[in-house]
Amino acid sequence: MKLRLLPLAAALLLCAGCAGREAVGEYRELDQLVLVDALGVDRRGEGLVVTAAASSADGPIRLRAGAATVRRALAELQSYTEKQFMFYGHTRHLLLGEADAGACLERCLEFVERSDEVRLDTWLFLVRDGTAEDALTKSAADSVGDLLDALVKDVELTSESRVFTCGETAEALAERGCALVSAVRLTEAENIVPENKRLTLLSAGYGVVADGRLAAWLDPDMARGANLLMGSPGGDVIEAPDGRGGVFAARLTGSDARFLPEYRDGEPVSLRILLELRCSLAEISGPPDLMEGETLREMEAAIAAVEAARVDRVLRLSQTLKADFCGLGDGVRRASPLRFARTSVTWKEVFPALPITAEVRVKLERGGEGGVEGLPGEERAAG
Amino acid sequence: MREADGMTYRQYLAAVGVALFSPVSRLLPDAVLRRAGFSGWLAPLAAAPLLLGLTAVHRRLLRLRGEARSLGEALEARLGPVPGKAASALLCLWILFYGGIILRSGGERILATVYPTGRLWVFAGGILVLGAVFALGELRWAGRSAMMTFLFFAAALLAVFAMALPGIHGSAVWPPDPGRSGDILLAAVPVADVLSPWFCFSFLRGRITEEGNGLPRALRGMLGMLLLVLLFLIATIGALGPELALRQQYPFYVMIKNLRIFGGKERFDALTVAIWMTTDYVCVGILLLSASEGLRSLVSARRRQPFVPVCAGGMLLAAVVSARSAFSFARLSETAVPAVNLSVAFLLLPLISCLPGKNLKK
Repeated sequence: MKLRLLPLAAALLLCAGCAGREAVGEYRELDQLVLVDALGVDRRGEGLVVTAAASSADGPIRLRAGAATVRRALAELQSYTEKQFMFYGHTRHLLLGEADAGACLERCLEFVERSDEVRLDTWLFLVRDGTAEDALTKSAADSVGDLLDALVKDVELTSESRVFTCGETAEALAERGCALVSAVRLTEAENIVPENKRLTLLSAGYGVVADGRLAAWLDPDMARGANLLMGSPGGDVIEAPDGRGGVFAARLTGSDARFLPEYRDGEPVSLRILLELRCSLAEISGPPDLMEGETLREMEAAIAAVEAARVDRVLRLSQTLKADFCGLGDGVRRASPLRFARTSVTWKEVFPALPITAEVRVKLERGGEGGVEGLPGEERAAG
Repeated sequence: MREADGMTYRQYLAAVGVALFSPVSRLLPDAVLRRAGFSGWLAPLAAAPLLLGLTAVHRRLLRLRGEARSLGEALEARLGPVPGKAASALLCLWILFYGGIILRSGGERILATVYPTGRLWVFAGGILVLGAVFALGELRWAGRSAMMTFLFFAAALLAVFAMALPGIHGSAVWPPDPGRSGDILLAAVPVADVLSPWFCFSFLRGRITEEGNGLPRALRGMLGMLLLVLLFLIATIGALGPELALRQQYPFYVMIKNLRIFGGKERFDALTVAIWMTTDYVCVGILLLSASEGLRSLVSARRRQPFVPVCAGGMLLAAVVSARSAFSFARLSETAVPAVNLSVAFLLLPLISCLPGKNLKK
């Protein structure tokens, strides 16, 4: 046996964590752990209240502790569990209560960035009209984590919002000074028969965090407009008047946002945003004469009018708040990097007063199983 | 006559490639982001002419009478016996100090990321022992070991880049900011810094048994490293975003920690630790090899191995005395260490390479 293998073996043992607690810290068995799914943070007085939600074979676990910092509150939570260790390494969701949400968010992101357990890709939510504690403890779901997982997927389908991670939010705040955070609301589910009515978490659009405070809420309708501007429309279903006294529904199948800034003397003087939407007819009352180009164009114009109104509301709010929460500046920069780099004023300075117009063009491409493929769909402008 | 023990040029390049990833993953992308913002990922392209030129100059320094020599021999031949030996001794001391920096940074980053309540010296000691085992054996064993490690390292990095690809935000890196072209050139400096310790391994150069194609091969090796740094920067900046990457102490680790495959499998942190440990121990091992070879030739001893424990002790001492805390250590490794590395690689050695190699013994 070569003697030189002895130090090698010793080093490998050390590195594998066999040197005991003193050397590498606490070693933990899986059955000693409470695996936390979701964390909620609320401002209460001068301090914070942190709520942890976990699911186990014995049923849901909900724990709460207060402290001046998130990290200290988590250490407090440790005392309340029967198991040996609270484990935050698989935390998937972080919820913040409405009260003083801006300051709370700043502190939570700081905690997540430094944490060796909670990850930057943890989904982030704001609780509208309520507290994170209520959202995690009063929801009837056995596993809040699973409920929120489903919600992340739901909002992608309905385009009522888009859930951002802690990392994405921290990056947006650092880069633009503002960010959109997906909002949820604890509400009694309306679509369940009365005797089984129960509280659940539903999407409530976006919260706008700007300059360290919760500046505004975007309802789901405006959230759809914001999603279009951010280039992630989801699979929204748009209802619009069909021109015959009825309503038709079209499913959004794709969109492109083009930013067309105008520069004068090297400075941006206006911005035109061209949104090109692709839709598929989902439902209509009575057989439409879709082979007639005029009918098709009217329907496209009706969809464009709906979307243009949404986008316009978002743009006005964004400029009023002086917060480019949809990242329009990034679109302008990408449109002409050289000109953008040569401007003497920053985007943050120029954005609030810049004349911005949004033009929505719709192409109703298909009719689903209704069989109107191959229609001469033309791009028509509206709005 | 040359001793039979040695490693091939391919093995040498593999070892150097793995070893240099240790400072790359420690100091980047932070240093390029500070200078050029998100466009800092272009820094390897800006640094390419500089580093390829350095490779050529370095090769000229070590090439005497048509044959590759160790750095010690080259210094003696060009500066004369006494100044040459003095320069060799100083460079050996620097290699030991630099090895101490690698040791300490290896321990620090495992503590900061995985075992916050652990002991620094357990991990630094573990890396040192592994490196010493690497250096105590025959060179040809170290060469084979380096080749195997390189294959593992390349496979692990490839897996990381492939997994990171879906999470990269194109807008975080493209298009680059044309207004910062001057800053991109400045950002080439930290890239040159992390790759410049190439010279630290050059005491081994006289023991490379297979020459291969010489300069083109060395240039290809440097191009490979630059490509690796480019991919590394695109992956970390693209996945985290420039501002967030700048705020992280170890963005590479955070990027891997946040990887998910098909939205489900997650927490590949162990992969980062494996990559870090591998690069650290190979870096320490090859620095020990180089320093012990330098000392051997300095005193004209027959065997290199007795110098390895001495060098290991020196590295440990350097790791202990280099800084009082993680904060002062970070300051040291971002200021004084790059200054010395860059001065030696880009000023001192090129100047010496201009001198004729007339004192070479036959």
